[in-house]
Amino acid sequence: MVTAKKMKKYLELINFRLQLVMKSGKYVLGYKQTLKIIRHGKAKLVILTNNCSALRKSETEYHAVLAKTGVHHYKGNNIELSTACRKHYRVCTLSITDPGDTDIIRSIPEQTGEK
Amino acid sequence: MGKFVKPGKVVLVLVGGYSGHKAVIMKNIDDDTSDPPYSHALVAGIDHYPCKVTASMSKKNIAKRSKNKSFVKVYNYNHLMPTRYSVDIPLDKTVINQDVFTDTALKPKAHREAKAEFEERYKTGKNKWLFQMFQLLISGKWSDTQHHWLTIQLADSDLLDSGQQLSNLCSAVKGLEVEASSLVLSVPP
Repeated sequence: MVTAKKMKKYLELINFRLQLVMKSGKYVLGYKQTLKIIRHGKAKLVILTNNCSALRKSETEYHAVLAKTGVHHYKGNNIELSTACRKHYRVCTLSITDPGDTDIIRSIPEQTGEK
Repeated sequence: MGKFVKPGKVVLVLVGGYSGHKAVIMKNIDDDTSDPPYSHALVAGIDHYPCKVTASMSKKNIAKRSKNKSFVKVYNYNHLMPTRYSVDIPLDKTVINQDVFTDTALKPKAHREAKAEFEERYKTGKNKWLFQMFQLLISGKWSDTQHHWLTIQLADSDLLDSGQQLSNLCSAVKGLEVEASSLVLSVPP
């Protein structure tokens, strides 16, 4: 059971990094494009929300496993993820192709591992 | 981070007349520039799977039931589902290539080559998964091909942690209410 304090800390960390990626890095939003990028081997990290449909989640995870790409399950729904990305539309699958200035690819798996 | 759509990869065809059929990638074109203008792959697949064979059958019967029929087709990546399996069947690239679709004389040759190579590999007993019809047994009923890419996850036990995940997957598909305990998986050997 994730406490409110831990949740807040987690969100601060990941949201900050996501915003940096939106500014300085390269990313792809949306299920179709994410799958395309994974297939081409360009995805470095895939982020899925908690209300992503189970079938879509499984399919994306399977592709990511084949491509040896990390998958992160964002602890929020698509509205929250879109807010974190500063977009005015909902996003339930996103993929980072170039992290830019952030260390999101190294730090996010570490943090989720600690939990 | 790794490219996995490569020659030799086994894929499932999701769309068209060969939906649910397994195929092997012969050649993949990743860029969106050549004709057709999207990422596509030339695949050689199995149209008609070899039938089940038992020890009590006569040699003639076994030979008849071990026959397969192949197809060669170009598919958009979106219409293929890659699997974790790959095969190293020596399909001749000079015979099976994209010229097959422009020149009508080359097509039967390509089909014959694919059929012969598949049959040879089937007889050795290797790569059994490739020669098994894609299926899922849910509470005694065969699933139809609409749910085939749901069935990939279920037939691939690597990805499944628990029965709960299974039933989540199933209820995500319309009209399929399954209890985890009543599911029977056809897991590849």
